[in-house]
Amino acid sequence: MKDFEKLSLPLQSEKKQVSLDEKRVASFEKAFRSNSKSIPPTIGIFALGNMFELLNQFEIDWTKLLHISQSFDYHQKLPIPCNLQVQTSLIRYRHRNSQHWLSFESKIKTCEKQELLISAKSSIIIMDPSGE
Amino acid sequence: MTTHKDKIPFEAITREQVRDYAEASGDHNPIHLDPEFAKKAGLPDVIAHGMLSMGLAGLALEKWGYSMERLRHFESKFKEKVFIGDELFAEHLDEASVKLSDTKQIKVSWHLIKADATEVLTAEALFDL
Repeated sequence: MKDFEKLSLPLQSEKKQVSLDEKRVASFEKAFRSNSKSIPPTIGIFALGNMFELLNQFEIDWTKLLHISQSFDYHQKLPIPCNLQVQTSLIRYRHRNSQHWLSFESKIKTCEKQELLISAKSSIIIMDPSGE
Repeated sequence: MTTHKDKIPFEAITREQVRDYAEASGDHNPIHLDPEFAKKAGLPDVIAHGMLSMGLAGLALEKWGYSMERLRHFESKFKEKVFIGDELFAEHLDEASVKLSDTKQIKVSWHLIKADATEVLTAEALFDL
């Protein structure tokens, strides 16, 4: 595992693009076994892929996840259809009591105008089986 | 202020539902889809996405009559893993008016629990008035 403590933070993921259209909203509707047409507040799930990629990049075993908390702030209504740009940053890392403590921030913007639609924060704790 | 809202039951979580959520979200993490992978990670079976549980919690807000158009903030803390076959319920805990600078908002607190009352997640949301 690489040494997070020596990293210069924030560490940014690549910018990823996600299309949000009626078809995708319908697929969420199906997954929730619901006939709600509203966009799920958890649409910020797109940010999580970036987060786990950062973890993989640094060889942290996320299957040892002990705790996660998530928050989303909604700045503007999501236009449908739209192309979204998602970028995640690791903003804080601590290692204590054989656990990795990590904080991430993500921003979801429109691709075209770069308008901020959703900002997300995630705090996670992952067990370090090496016991270091 | 506590406003009574009925407890909302959801259908028991199925493998198909978890696969559907993986398709919708793009999160194909094997811990949600591959039982063998889950067992190697020390789990008895795959677990549902945390964001699926959080999404169900969001759906409860809508069922209780809150306008998702006015949602400004949504946060949750995950307390327990959700497995295939788990039945989940959303239980409204509190509603209060709050004032942040010049904006009046409603703060809603609720949680998602299993049939045996194990707490899956706690959540808070802020809505513009």
